[in-house]
Amino acid sequence: MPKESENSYVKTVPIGKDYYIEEADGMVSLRGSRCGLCGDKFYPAKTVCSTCVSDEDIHETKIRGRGTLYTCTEIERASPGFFAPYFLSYIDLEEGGPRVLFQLGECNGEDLQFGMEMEAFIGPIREDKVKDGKVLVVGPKFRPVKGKE
Amino acid sequence: MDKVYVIGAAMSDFGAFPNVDILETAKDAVWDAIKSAGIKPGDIDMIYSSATKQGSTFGQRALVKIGLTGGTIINVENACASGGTAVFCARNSIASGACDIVLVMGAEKLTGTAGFIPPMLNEYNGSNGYVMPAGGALIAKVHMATYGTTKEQMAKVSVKNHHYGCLNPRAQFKKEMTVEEILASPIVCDPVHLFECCPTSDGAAAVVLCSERVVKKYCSNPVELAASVVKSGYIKPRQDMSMSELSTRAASEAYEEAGIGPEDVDVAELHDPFTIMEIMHYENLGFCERGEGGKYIDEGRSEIGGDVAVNPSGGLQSKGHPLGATGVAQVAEIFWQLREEADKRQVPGAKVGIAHTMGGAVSGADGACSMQVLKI
Repeated sequence: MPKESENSYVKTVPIGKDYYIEEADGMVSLRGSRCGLCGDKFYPAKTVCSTCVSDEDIHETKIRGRGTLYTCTEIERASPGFFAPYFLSYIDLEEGGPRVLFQLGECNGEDLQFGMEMEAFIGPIREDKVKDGKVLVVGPKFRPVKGKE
Repeated sequence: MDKVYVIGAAMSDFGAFPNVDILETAKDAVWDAIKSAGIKPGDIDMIYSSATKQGSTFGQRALVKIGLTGGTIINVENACASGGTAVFCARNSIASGACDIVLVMGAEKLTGTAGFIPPMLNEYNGSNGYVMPAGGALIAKVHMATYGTTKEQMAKVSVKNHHYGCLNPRAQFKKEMTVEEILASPIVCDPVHLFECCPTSDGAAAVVLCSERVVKKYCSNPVELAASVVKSGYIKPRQDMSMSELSTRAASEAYEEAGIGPEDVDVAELHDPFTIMEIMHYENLGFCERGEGGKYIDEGRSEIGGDVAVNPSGGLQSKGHPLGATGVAQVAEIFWQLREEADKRQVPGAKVGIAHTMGGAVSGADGACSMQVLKI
């Protein structure tokens, strides 16, 4: 991950407010929501269950940063602020969790197989211009689980 | 509800015209549509204007040039489905009895923006770098893995639509392409190649809609707008990306409203910003079974002379995709096709046509889909 001094970033900021927790054991937990009425889980978190269209029984829940690869692509030319080439994927979060878009990292295109086990880590997503320079935005990305490629 | 008809249509050339004022292009399309419909400007009861990135009150800024302000002008935005949405609004204004004649205009100038439309950073997918070609690529991979759809089948969509572009004087590209050339073009997002993406386009189109109450006064061979549907996508925690729930549902409702089935459709202008989308829409719109889309194009069934002539205008691939204009231009194309005015790209004996667009992708759900059914 680029260090602030190496790339003259004014600071490093997390993507979104309270999107994730970096656990003591190095795992990443995603801060999502679970609806008690239908059982659906969401990430990012919601205050209204979009399946039930109800806020009757929706609660915050931690979703472990583990899942399987549903689909992915490599973007060759990036829009301003993004680091080309980069991978986008949909990850099926474990235990019937939601199918969510994440960037991938620490992998080669050839190693990626749909259905393979993936784990979350915190990495660079993009850089944003601010008044006095650039800010590095970091957040959850996924990589193949080692030993399960 | 009263029946609604299309009685006139016009469009500009679509292409890359960085030095042309889009307000001029738009007002010219409006003026041509008025003349095509045989109405007087004073006959217009209401105007809907479709544009996505042209700034506030685009309709008024174009129409003031020809003295058409003063009445009710409404500006409509629904991403690539803006034009179809404006047609839907116009249909409702007439069917409700509130209006007899409504003009729909659509326009867009995208030249001058660098490359593809940048991601929206204020929503989850965009903040991670989701761009529309990436969406096409992620979907293509699922369709290929699920059904064995091949890159050659996808490229054939571009071959077909570029061939029809050669027959359309208004098309942005009038150049034949081969599967080899398309697959040799640079990869934008694997597996989507550059020549499988719709271009950056400028252009405008306009149509005139008319109520059953007064149609005989203006037009001896009007085209009936038998159905018009606009929907947005449901958000599901695990969305099946091998199909579009939104397009399937919008099409189903439109067919029911029009009293037809997909087997009755002779000609279709549908949403082909990336080649895989056309293949999927053969399935979504019911022209073939799920997974058979690749076979459908292999067998020539979406060509003029096939089961359903798909995108005889050249589609978004080759005619171009000025976002706000596209849905209106599709209705114009079907209008001409059903009246046997489509010249070299005429679908023989076409009696039932559809116009379909999808717009935007909002984290986890498709943004908008518009679907029209037209009959003569």
